[in-house]
Amino acid sequence: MKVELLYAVLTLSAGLFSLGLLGLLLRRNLLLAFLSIELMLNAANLNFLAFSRYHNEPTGAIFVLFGICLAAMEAVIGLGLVVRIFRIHQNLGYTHLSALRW
Amino acid sequence: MLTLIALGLLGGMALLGGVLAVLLRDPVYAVLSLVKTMVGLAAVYFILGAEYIGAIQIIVYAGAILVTFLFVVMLVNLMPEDIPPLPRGPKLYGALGVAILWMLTLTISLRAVLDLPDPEESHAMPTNQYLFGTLPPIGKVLFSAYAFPFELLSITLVIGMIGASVLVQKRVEV
Repeated sequence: MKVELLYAVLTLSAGLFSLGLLGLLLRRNLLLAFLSIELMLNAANLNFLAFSRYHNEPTGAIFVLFGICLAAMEAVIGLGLVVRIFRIHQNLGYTHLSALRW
Repeated sequence: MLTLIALGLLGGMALLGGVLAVLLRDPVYAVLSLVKTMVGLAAVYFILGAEYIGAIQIIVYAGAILVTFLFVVMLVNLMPEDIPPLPRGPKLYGALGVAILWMLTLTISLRAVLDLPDPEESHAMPTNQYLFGTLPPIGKVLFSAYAFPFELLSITLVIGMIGASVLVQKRVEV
């Protein structure tokens, strides 16, 4: 694999990660902040695959596979928490969630 | 060259979907633009030669995870009016923030590239005989070297399933 392709994919993944991080910082809603986390996870997956392609060995692809499974599980647990929080507070802003704050 | 152009187009589509997912106020539209990002990323995976991961990306991410997000948006009846607007200020600040973060993360990734060994001399695996992302090499490695983490993953999924169903049920007084 030519190294230019690696650079291009790394640039794309850095852009997706920074978009996700900015969305996580700016969005004041639990569900949409959660959406930004998915974006960052995908950027990490893209990095794994780019280096896996560069070395032409499948280990990175397997890590991506595990990452996708864990992301699915994380989405289910997180969305369960979102539903639960919505039942208690009747909205999804997270600035007032201070019960566990130290 | 053609690969780079295709990568630019599809990656641009994925980036556009990400921008819309961050900016759009209507949660349904934000989730749907993230679907667009996932499909664009799956196409990028196909370009990289990871066909299996690309298919899994479409099935699991676009098909399952984001549909679950849509279900939750409908379940909690999230309206565009419920979403607080983005912090006020010139749009330029947001673009500047993305640019700075982009440069920082890119610097970290490129630092890793500098440490890479030269693939021509360090790898005995013949190119194009087995593309790394097709099913046979993935299956061989997954069920030999990574068999134990694979089993742990299934236990983790069961834990997640039980945890989610415990989380969302109504509290039962005993």
